[in-house]
Amino acid sequence: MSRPLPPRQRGSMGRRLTAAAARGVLELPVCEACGRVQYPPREVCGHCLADALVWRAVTPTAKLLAATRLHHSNEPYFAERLPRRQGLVALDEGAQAVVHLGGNAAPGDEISLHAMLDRSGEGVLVGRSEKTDAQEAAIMEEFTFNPKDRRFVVYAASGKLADALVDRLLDAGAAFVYRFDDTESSRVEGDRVEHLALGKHPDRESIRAAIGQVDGLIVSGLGAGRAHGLAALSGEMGAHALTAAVHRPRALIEALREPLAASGGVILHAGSVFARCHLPAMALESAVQAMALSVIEHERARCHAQGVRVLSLFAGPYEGPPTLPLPAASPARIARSAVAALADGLEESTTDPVAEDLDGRLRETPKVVERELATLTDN
Amino acid sequence: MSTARDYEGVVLAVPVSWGYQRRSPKEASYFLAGALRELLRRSGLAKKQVDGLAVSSFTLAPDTAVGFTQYAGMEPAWLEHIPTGGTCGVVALRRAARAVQCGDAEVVACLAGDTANHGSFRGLIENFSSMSRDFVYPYGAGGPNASFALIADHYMRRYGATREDFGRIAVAQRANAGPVPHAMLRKPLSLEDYLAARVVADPIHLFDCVMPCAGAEGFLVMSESRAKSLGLAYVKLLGAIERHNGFSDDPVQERGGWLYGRDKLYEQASAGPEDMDFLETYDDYPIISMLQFEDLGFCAKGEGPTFTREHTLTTDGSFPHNTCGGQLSVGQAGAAGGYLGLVEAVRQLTNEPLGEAVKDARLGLVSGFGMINYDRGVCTAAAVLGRVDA
Repeated sequence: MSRPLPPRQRGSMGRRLTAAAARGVLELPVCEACGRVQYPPREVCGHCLADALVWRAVTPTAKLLAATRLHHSNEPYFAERLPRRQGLVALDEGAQAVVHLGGNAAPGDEISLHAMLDRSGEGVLVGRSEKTDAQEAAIMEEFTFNPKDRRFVVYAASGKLADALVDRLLDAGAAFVYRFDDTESSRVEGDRVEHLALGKHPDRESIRAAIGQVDGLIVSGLGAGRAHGLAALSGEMGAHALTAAVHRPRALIEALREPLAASGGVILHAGSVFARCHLPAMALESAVQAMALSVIEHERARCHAQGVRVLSLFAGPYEGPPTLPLPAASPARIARSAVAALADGLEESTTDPVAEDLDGRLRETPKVVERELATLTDN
Repeated sequence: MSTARDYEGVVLAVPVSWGYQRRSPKEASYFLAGALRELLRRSGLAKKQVDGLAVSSFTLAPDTAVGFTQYAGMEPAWLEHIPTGGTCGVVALRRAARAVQCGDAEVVACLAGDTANHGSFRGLIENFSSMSRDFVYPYGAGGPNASFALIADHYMRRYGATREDFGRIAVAQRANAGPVPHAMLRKPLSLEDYLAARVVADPIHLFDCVMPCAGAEGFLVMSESRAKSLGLAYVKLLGAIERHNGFSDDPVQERGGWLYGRDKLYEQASAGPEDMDFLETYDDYPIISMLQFEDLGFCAKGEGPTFTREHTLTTDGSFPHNTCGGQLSVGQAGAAGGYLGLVEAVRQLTNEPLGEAVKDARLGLVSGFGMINYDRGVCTAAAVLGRVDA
């Protein structure tokens, strides 16, 4: 029996809120004709009826109008988490919103609004004030994932990235890290890290047998394929890259989905932004990462049904050709971003300025990005 | 602004409450059909003589009034499906009255009813509306309790209302329900009991909430001459209003759309609030009854709490209110809750109340409130009914 999850039903407006909340951004439809912010979101302005609504980030501040503390819920997920507060807030930019309320805020207090994903992976608004308390901490834990005292499994195709991820998790207070790698045998490193040999095609049983309880899984095929051209796709190098970037992450997710569901865990995939826009100068990596991204989306849908969140972190050029006129994404930076994405509960985030720039522009003008990357060569 | 035509010559007859029970495995149509059967039996009309049908129900979905015609073998020339929740009784009455006045229908059966089982209430609030599904239900799934808690929290702070003020409404209604055979809750309730009840969604406590149940209500609308020829006891419709999404700019709901139309209502009825012998409000929570005291002109805005302190609200009191016990004691049979006050008012004005009679009652005001589509009740309506000689 799986653990109960928050209500998952949404229409297209709820999904649109979720899309921005995945990036930690509060976006709402704003009328270009009369300027009014719409909440609940809709497709036509509720004031002037203009068919001119544009979703944009709105100022995430509000005033608390009224509050209640729920002692009963019709949903098992919430019933396990009572009492809990719900508030009605007035956004500073206009409109009222029902929100999850953290802390002891009283009506009249200033509230900061946060668009976050709940355990079902659906976007909700969370109102927080300066008056924090234990209940606020409990509410925030539903939307975030603090690595402290958690047990992780880490797999990275790049040894340097695996090192950085393990270091960063330990710095953040992780209780234990299983590091899967290509070494032949298992070895223990300190009292909080264990290297485990993965083998070429690890099966579910051997993975499950090797580890105990697990709260978080971090997988990354970054660097698999490196600077190879697309001709390598059909050769040994291509097979190697697919194994590292696609098959192994998928095998780990498949094997660990249930234990992660049992612990309310999280999966983070550190991939390349070039999965979303092909970089000819890193052709094999781009192609393999595109497949990895597709597989992650497949797994996300399955994981969400069990309450396991799947976070995507996008990096810029990783171990690309040294002559590429783009700054590289360092292992330390990727690891830092990975832990931050967990802590903030971000389903989509970026590691470095290149990834951030491309991520934003891919939303607006993907064809422009495609043409631009086509001109970037490594010589 | 044009003046609405009056409802001269239109009457209501045969008040029916049928099938009340805490839970049922039956479908909604079963309860609607039960009320229809009662309407026919008591009026002596054959099915084919009822040429108009208005239906309200939540658990009838995916069906509507259309499906019910086939279910019940009716062949109406006029059909309405009225989804306005707690106002559906008054709204059905307004529609039916015009149909009768204009000759589109001769006799309209107005029906509201629902079933209730373990999953039905959760299913109903989970998918109550698009806005609530996406933007309310995922925030704790508190249902209407949570929505009214926010409205009550605001009202209490703004106007200084206390739980005792709401409690007086609930306690008086429980007393009124004592003699009503099908009421879910008839055991006397003291103010101490009310105050000591467990909290559900602060400041809403257990006895602020209705008990969901199964059941149906109904009545017939026809011309006065038809009612006379059938030998039926009847009451007159003296005025009626409705308003939807009124005062939508208020940040938190503290008044309802009744305020827009109440002067017109009293003018149409040639009477004022002081002339009303009793009031039947929509009482899904006492706070909402208090808003109706204010917005229908029985006291000024913010004086609802004082009003409950200065009056006794029992059927034999200085301000008879929800004289059959209201939904708080009878139970809320889904959309039938939107008929409860209207059916009770017809009973009072035809000398056939199930509980105590309001002494010398000639005029009664019935109001409805319904549909928390997002953060507030959207629908409001009210009607003045009069005894035959009124």
